Amino acid sequence: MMRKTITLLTFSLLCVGLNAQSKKKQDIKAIKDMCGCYEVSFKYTETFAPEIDYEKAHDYTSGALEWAQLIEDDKDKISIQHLLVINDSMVIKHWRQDWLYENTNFYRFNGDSSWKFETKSKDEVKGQWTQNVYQVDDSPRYSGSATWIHADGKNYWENKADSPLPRREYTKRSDYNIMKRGNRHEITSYGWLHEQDNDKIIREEGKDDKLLVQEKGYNVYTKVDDSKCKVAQDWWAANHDTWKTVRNKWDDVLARNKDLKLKPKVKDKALYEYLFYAQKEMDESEISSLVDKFVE
Amino acid sequence: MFKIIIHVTVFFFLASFTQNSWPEILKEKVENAITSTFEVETFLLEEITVNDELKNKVPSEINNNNLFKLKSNNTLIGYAYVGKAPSMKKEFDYIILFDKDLIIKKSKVLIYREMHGQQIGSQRWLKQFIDKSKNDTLEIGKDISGISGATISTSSMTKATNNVLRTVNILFESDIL
Repeated sequence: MMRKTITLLTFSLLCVGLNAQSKKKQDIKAIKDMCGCYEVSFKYTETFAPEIDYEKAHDYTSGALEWAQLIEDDKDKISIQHLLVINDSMVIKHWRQDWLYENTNFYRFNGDSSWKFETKSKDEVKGQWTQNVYQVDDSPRYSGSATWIHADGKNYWENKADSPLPRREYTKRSDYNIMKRGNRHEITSYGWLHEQDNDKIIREEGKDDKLLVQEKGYNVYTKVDDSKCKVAQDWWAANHDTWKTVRNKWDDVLARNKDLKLKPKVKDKALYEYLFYAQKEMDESEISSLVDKFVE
Repeated sequence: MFKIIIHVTVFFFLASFTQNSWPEILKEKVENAITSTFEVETFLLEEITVNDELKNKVPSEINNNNLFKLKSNNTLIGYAYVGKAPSMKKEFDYIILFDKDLIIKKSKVLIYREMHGQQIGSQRWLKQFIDKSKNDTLEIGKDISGISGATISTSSMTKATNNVLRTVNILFESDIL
């Protein structure tokens, strides 16, 4: 009787372990399925505002060809660098998404170019993946943890995360200071869908957050042949070393595990302007001291 | 000199009266409506006082705290009327902003107190009032499209606007504006 129970228990534990492994494999496949060459359409529209006198902004629509390059592929970390291809010839480094398995350290955006360092327990993030999203200059943007769901023929991950204003509104608006992003990444038959249900929020010290307006975002990534993004692949091959140095520097900054505040500009220029338009290639110490100038 | 002092004193008295008699939220919304419509950072609301005889003649309520000249850098930029009108079960607050030639520059619903009929707050509908002048009389279905599901509030806002236009016309004819 005792032997039977032990066998059954061992078998059950083995099944649970195998199931977790197979689930993680499915998660990794879904994340990596976002890599490749995509025609992307970006669409945003403001929806509901609590105050009747709020005047909704015009819809935003745009399109691009985008290369999503796998740049790290470890057991518990996958990193994807997005590159925009303009007019088939020009390449612009775009956002980056890192996916970390059962990560417990978070930088939560708190307005005014500042991030609060927070931790979660191992139990809270069990089986979850953190998506860390970075700016074009590899500084942090937003971070959220959730479980990838594989059910009913769908593969998706969804989460809410406080973030800075999106680039499309960063220089145009000052009537809100936090975008609470409702991010949903779904792998589809045509590629993937980045669906958003965002809250534009006014956050002031000592007051409750005030919702200004909600927004729907619908970014469709339609897979095209990778050869269409060859110019981006070539660009990355030529530039990946420099950007690895930039990433490493930011990794050091973020490894301090404490609240972070960044200067939006130094000598009237944003960090990306220094990095994108450098007259000559910067070495490790130059990049390090440049990034340090932006960290308060 | 004495006249100027009285004038300034009256102005500040009226300005502070306005500030004290409006709820904070209404004050904030009126200010936002004016700054965004006229694209000015600072402005002065100068109350237009109307005698009792004229008050009885005009269709809109004038309470010496709802009809204003708008000035920026000591220059007249327009006029504002802040009023209330009925929705299905309650009342809503609105503002009608005129340019200095008394042509509507913007209409806004500022505070709405029930769920039903909130569609009238949308600028897609309210923009129909823009460019109407003191000589216009507006008719739902002809000049102004109705909104299904917000019949009472659309009629109410249209009627309120007609009353304000007629009021402005009477005050203009009486050399008040």
